[in-house]
Amino acid sequence: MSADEDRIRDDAAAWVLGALSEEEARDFQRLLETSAVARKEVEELRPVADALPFAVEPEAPPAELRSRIMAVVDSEAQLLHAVDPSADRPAERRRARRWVGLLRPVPLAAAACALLLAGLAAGLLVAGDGGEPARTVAAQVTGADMAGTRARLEIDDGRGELVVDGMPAAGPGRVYQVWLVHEGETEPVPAGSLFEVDRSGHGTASVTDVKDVETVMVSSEPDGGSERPTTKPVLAATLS
Amino acid sequence: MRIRSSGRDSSDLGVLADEELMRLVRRADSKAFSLVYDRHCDAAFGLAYRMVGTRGLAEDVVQEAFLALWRGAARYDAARGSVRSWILGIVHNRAIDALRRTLVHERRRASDEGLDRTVASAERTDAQVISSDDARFVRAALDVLPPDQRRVVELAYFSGYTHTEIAEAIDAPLGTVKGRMRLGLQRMRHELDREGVAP
Repeated sequence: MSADEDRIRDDAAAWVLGALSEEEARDFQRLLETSAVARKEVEELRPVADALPFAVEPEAPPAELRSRIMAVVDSEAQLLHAVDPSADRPAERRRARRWVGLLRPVPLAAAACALLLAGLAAGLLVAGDGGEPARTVAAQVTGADMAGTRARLEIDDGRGELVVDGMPAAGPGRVYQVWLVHEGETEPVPAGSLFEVDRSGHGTASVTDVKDVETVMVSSEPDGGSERPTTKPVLAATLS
Repeated sequence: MRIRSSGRDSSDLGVLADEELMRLVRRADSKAFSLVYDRHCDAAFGLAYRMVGTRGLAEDVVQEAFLALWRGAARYDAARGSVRSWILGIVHNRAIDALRRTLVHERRRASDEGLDRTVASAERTDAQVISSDDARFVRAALDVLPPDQRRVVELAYFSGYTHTEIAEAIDAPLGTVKGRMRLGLQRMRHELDREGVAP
């Protein structure tokens, strides 16, 4: 066995144990695409790493933990079934609305969910000058690690302005991108709008045409944006 | 508002296998989810507690993991392993995130709480005994490792240290640390194969 192969096998062991740094792990992941030695070693050692948690003695968590988790789950189930009544039907019958499944909100107390749902259903009508009244739609926060984020879509004369507050930065090399799902469509299309937030978490993005738009969504994307979402939406506003 | 679910109560669902329950969880069936939680929360909490060392943080980890399961049930693929393995994998990842996010390593070193979770408890419930054979073989396979190999495997997997951190902690060259990891896992593989445990 060559010294290189030895090193690869050592790295494989560290990789399956999660003991490589993030950069080393990325390098090893790339190596897996080209190195049969790496793949074979991982295949050999991965099941052992997967078995390690079974070595730990089970321990009952406090009953309050179950209550906390079920409060979130029950409230999200309510919200999901209200938004998508077909949610408890077989998956194959839901293809047309598969994006709805991505719009599950982050943990909220049941009462907060109910209020949010009411806001979504009604929208908030504000003064307008004839034609379609101007309105503001509260957006659902659907991403993890978005605690404290508030977002609304202000619609006037067929145009929208997304306003976010308390939103964490997208991170280095990333940007928030706005997507539109039109009525009758299943795939989101770029709204042509990218945005970042300032230190306070405030940011805005324009949506030039919300005609026939069912849902406006935001996801974190690489700088420059993407042609289609590469991550789950972190915000979603339902317009119709 | 009424939650629409499978229409069966929990006692009906109780006869279903984990994989069947996961199909219902995918359809946002909260009753099915509660059964999955009940079946696996002890193993999940035991692992989280073993890793993060404090009960409070372990609760946070388990909560995050089960909510991730609830929201990402569609990602479960029965062909790639049992529901319990999948859940424990999520718990492990979340615990590593928590350890690295909160720098709890230092706190863990200052407290022995939860460090010896692999030591058998005096009393166990029926639910905990279900996987006791496999668990016993895995513990036995870990026990046969030479102390220096077992230590690096545990520091990496259960404590979330990188090989660089381990090398510094035990004052050994990087290559030695990674070599011990490999030899340790290979030895465990041999032991598990010998016992017919298919990890």
